[in-house]
Order: sequence, then structure tokens, then C-alpha cells
Amino acid sequence: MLPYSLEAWFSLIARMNADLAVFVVIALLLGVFVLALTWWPRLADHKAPTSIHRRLGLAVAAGWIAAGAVFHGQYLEPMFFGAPWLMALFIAQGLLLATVAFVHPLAGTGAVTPMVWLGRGLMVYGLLGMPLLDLLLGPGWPAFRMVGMTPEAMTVFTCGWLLTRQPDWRLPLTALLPAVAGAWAGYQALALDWPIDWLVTLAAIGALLAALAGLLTRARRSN
Amino acid sequence: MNTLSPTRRAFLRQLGTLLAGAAAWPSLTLAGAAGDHATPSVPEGVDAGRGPLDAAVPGTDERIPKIGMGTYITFNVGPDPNARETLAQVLRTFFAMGGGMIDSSPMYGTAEEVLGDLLAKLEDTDGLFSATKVWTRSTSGGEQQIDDSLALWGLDTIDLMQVHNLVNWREHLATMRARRDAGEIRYIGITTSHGRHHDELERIMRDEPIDFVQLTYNIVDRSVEDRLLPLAQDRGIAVIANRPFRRGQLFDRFADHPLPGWVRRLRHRQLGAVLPQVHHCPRSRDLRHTGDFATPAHGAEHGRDVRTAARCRCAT
Repeated sequence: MLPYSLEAWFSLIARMNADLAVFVVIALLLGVFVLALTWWPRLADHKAPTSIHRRLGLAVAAGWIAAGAVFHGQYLEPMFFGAPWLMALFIAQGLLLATVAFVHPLAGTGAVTPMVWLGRGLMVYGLLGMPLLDLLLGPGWPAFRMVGMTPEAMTVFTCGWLLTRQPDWRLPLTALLPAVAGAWAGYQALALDWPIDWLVTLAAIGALLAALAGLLTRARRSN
Repeated sequence: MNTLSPTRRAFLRQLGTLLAGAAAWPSLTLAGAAGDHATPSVPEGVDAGRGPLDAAVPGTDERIPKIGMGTYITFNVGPDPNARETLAQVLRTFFAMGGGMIDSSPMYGTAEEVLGDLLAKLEDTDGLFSATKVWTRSTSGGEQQIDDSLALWGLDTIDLMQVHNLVNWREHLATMRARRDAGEIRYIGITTSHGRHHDELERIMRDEPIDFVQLTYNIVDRSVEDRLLPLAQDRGIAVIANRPFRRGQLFDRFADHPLPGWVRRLRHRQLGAVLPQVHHCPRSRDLRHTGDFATPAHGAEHGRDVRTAARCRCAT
């Protein structure tokens, strides 16, 4: 059980969006940038320059750090005693993604498989679908969750992005903390009676399982 | 902004539940309790002059209203001005109807801050009985939480300070006694909820000089009747029952059932008024009536509740 209501939670998001309107626009543009580079044929695959994949990874990492530091650290913390732990989780994931991006960026897949389409779909949902559903079903403007600002949108967007990456050992590693974040999102969905966020949980657990399955398949082929 | 229709109803119902004033006055509606009107008001049909039921704090001459108000979730609204205005109206109605005890905790996020802000703005808070808690494993953190609560509520003295869910209770009780001696706390208590830690709670009640104990007690959760309530009576410890309607679940459970005949004969005929009255029911009294709630479709669990409710009509 959580010590805040759905109304209070949306009120918090509305206040953050109002306070940080400029950053909401920047986050939206950054999300579009990541989505476009993931979708674009020549930039999305494994033959694309490493610098592109590095930038993509850093952009996603920045979203996790911002969601942790700003949403959990600044806005949720006064209302929820567990917010510092969530902040630590999101910042840790951001640092992990940044490290991977610097050392050996996650490259896109060579083929547009159904898994890649699923990943793209989740990215679109995180970037546009979730905010629209929030506006339709929630209390209204400006209470919507934006990628790079709020944890659920960031989680589902990242899980989608991971599904578009080449499967290797770094993929399950970077999908582990999103799975934890997704599990938390599911608990919150249950506690606040906001069932559309169970999709976040499904995406997060699914991304981790897909990453592990991809790793196993690749290992089997190499043998 | 728009409203969240289904959840807003639940929100209002929870506010009404927290007020729990329905148990003390006839014709109190949840909408009235939650404050749909702009001015402080006593809901239509309520005899405010009659005042609420009250009870003495054991060992003292002080009497406080039996119906109190919790702040978990409902007062944790942050700076939202609309939510604060709604809560201000709840508080106005609460005090206008003779309410007294308000219970909070540092665990409840911004609840204490919101409460303090609203209390400072209200014209009339006579009868306020402030109750809050210490909730931390750290002893020095407990000292800090007491300081914070005094500041957030805007009070020089907290009426009741409780150890929340028995966390680090030995150290916190020692701290509270020292603060009571310094005049910053009047009563000391300890809390639990959801039926947890009853064995340890019983030991504390036997061994420690405390004034209040807070525990979960409602028509479904009745395990405290076996040992804890008799012990509290023997030791002269005041009892606060939390979750009297299981966060509103009991309203959902019984909402679609007609009230049994024996309830229709009561002065207080609403479900919110009927359910808490089992609190005073001796278990040994077995009554003949089995209640109209019970239907085959609702199975044994409902049937058990209904029999319990029926058994306890003696309390009315």
C-alpha cells in the first residue's frame, strides 16, 4: 500500500510539468531523436557508426538519471519515504547505460524482426501513447508522463529500445534494473488502481526475458 | 482539471470513512462529510448540539470524542491547492461536529505539513486532540521526528505521541517519556495495524507504562478481542481502533445487501453507523437473528461476517 493517492500522484506530475515545462519539451524532442535514430534504416542497424549508438545510449541514460534525480529526488520524496531508493535505482541504471554507451555501445539489429517492431511499438507508447492516455483517462492537462521525466514512461521506452538492440551479454545486464522498475510500476498500478501501467510491467519483464532468450539463442548458434 | 470519476468517488468515500462520524450522528452522508459545500456546515439532519459520543482517558478526568480522523493517504496531497481546500472543508466539518482526535505520522509523507498548514488557517480548532507517531529505526531520528511534528503541527505540545508499528520501541518510549517530562508530550502510546505483532504488543502493554494503544479493529478483524482488549481494560490503557471500515472495503462488501431487520429498528440506520458498533459487543452473547445480508451467492465468508454482525446487535 502506498501513502499517496492516484489524485495526489497525478497532481505531483502536473506540478512537475508546470514547473519544468521547458525540460518537458526538451525531453520530448530527445525522445523523438532516439526514436527516429532507432527507426531510420541506415542509422538503426549494426553497420551504423558507433558514435550514433553511443549518442543513443547516452540519451537514454540521461533520461534515467533525470527521472531519478528530479521526479523521485525532488518531487516524490516529500510524499513517499521510499522515493530515495527509487531515485538510487534510476540513477544506477542511468550510470550503467552511460558506461555501456561509452565502453561498447549497444548496436541496432541488422534485420527488422517482429521483436524490433515490438520494441518500436513500446517506444512509441512510452513517448506518445502513455502521455495521451494519461490526458484522456487522468485528471487532464498538464498531468501526463513524459519520457525522460517520469519513471514509467522512461521504463517502457527503454525496454522498447533494448528490444531493438543486438542481443549480447550487455542486453540482459541493462534490462535487469528496468525489470525492477517495471515490477514497482506494477505494484503502484495495483495500489493506485491504474491498471494501464501493468503494460509497463509486462514490457519490462518481457524485455528482460527477450534479452536472456536472445543471448541463449546466440550462444547456441555460435556452438 | 477534470476529475477522476470512479477514483474521486473512492476518495470522497475514504474521507468520509476517515471522518467516521457516521457512527455518531444520524443522517450523515459521505458527501456532506467530504464537504461539497463552501461553508463549514453540519450536515442536514444532524443535531450538532448533542455532540459526539466521548470517552474518558483512563486514569484522568479528560474526555475526548470517540470518533477521530486519520490522515493516511488522504492528507498526503503535497502543495495541491484544490486538494488542500477540500481538506480544509473536511476539517471545518469535523470540528463543527465536535470532532477532536486527528492522527498522523511522519510516514504519511506531507500529511503533517498539510495538516499544520490547514489548522493554522482554520478559525476554530477547539477540541483538537493531536496524535502522531515516531517511525524510524534511529533513536536520534526519533528525537528529530518529534521536533518536526511539533513544528509541522504548529503546536507547543502534542497530545499523543505513539511509536509507529513498534519500530525501535524501547528507545523511542524512553525518548517520549523524557519529552513528556519536558511538557512537549501529554500521552504516550504504541501502534500496530493489520493484526500484526500482537504478541509483542501484548508484552509491551503488560510491561510498559503506556497511556494509549492503537490497533486494527473492525467487524472482520476481531482478533484483538481475545487478549489485547481485556488487557487494555485491566491495565487502564486507552484503545484507538484503526481501519474501522478496512479502508472502505466493508462498505463495498455490504453495499448491495439490504440492511437486516434489526438494523432498521435502530436510530442510526446507515452502514457506517452500524459497523463500528460491534466494537462493544461481548463475544459470549449469541443472538438468534442471522441477518438479511447472507445470501448463498456470497458464500461462507460473507455469512460469517453477517453472523458476527447479527450476533453483535446486542451492542445497539
